[in-house]
Amino acid sequence: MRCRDVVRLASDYIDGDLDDRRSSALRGHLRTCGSCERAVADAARIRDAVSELAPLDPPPSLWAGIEQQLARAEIEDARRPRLWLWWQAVRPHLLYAGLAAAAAVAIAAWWADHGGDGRPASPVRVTDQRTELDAERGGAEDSEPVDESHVERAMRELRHADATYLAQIAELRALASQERDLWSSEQATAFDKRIAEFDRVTLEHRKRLAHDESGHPGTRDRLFALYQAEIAFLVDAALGEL
Amino acid sequence: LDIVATTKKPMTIVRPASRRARSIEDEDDGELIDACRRGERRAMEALYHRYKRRVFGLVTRIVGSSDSEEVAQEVFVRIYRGISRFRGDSALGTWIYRLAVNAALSHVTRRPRIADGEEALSRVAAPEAAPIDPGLSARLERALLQLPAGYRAVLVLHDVNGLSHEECAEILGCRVGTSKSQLHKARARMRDLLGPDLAPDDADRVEPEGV
Repeated sequence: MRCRDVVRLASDYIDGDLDDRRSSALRGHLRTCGSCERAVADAARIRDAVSELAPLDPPPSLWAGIEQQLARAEIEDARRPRLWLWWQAVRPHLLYAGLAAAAAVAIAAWWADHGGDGRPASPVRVTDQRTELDAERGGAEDSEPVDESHVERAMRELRHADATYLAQIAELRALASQERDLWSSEQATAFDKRIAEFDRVTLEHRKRLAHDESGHPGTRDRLFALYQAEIAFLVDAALGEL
Repeated sequence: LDIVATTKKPMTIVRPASRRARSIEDEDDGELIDACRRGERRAMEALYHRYKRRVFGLVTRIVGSSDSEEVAQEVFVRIYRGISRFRGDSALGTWIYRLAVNAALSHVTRRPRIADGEEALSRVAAPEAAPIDPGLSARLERALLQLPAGYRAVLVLHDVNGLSHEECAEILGCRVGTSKSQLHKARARMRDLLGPDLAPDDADRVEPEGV
């Protein structure tokens, strides 16, 4: 063992995280190298002293300050548009739908790379791989097929993600329409124009998907990106940022 | 000389008891989380008392004492406002530490000039009982404040709070190897900063006889 090895291993050694053989070699080196011995002893002394630093008590005013800030934040919440509150509630679910879709796309892409004939080489049993999505659906998928392939599973996740996005867009549109009275006529016109554009492009994507026999994951990926853009737009609109 | 040197007493490494005793997880965190989600004030206060020292100590040692109360307050507000989104993928303690480290590091980034010197140290709450030489303690705190913020974070998490490298890596969003190398560099920098101030404890150093 050389001095530069000691430099690399010293922290693990003093924390007891180094295996026995290397610890022994390192100790052997320390017996014959004064500078390394001092360096390791200093590091251990620093570690010991730092670990014994006294805990720091916060001042009594900290809790009062936290309570005040929480109260202020709750009052602000009460003044926010209803849509903002709704958005905060659904955002984690939307994120999950996006993640599930991304995972499904990744699986499908993997399959496309490894198979390509419409059948993966060896179907994988997924009996014990119930997804969180399934759990969220309240166990409705208890009779999940035991020989479901990667592709079937990916397609199921994609369909579910698609439905989740559509349901949330529909709900957002309904909520946005309730805020419409607060908008100027220019804002309402701009909103309608943008929504019509979203409808047109979405329809194009869906038609392309229906005719796309290859099932290439990129096509659906673009559709999901479009859904996310519409959701972002609807939320901005509801927050007066048209 | 070789014969004398090889008969030197090898330096034995003992982990301090305080490092072994601490754990990031508390058994009944689940009930506390549920009650906090329902907005129960007593539960929120209980959570505060459970984590106040860990959060305040971590934040103080990263941002310095002048801004520590402001940042600790921000951390707890984020905890309560965000606990409904806590999915339990990690331990509650890990999640709280992550919020605290992120808030402290972004505060340091926003305001890079932290308070330093004796004035800042004097405002660090006095310890209930000083387990080590108070002079050394002050020198350590001063040296800590001079470390780069990233080194400070890993040193405080690992050496002060006694977390494992796996926990540090999860909190800091890095690999275990990175946590280890950062800690190693932090300790080396501490050694440079302390220099002669690192009072040697001759008890564990045996010089070769007759040299």
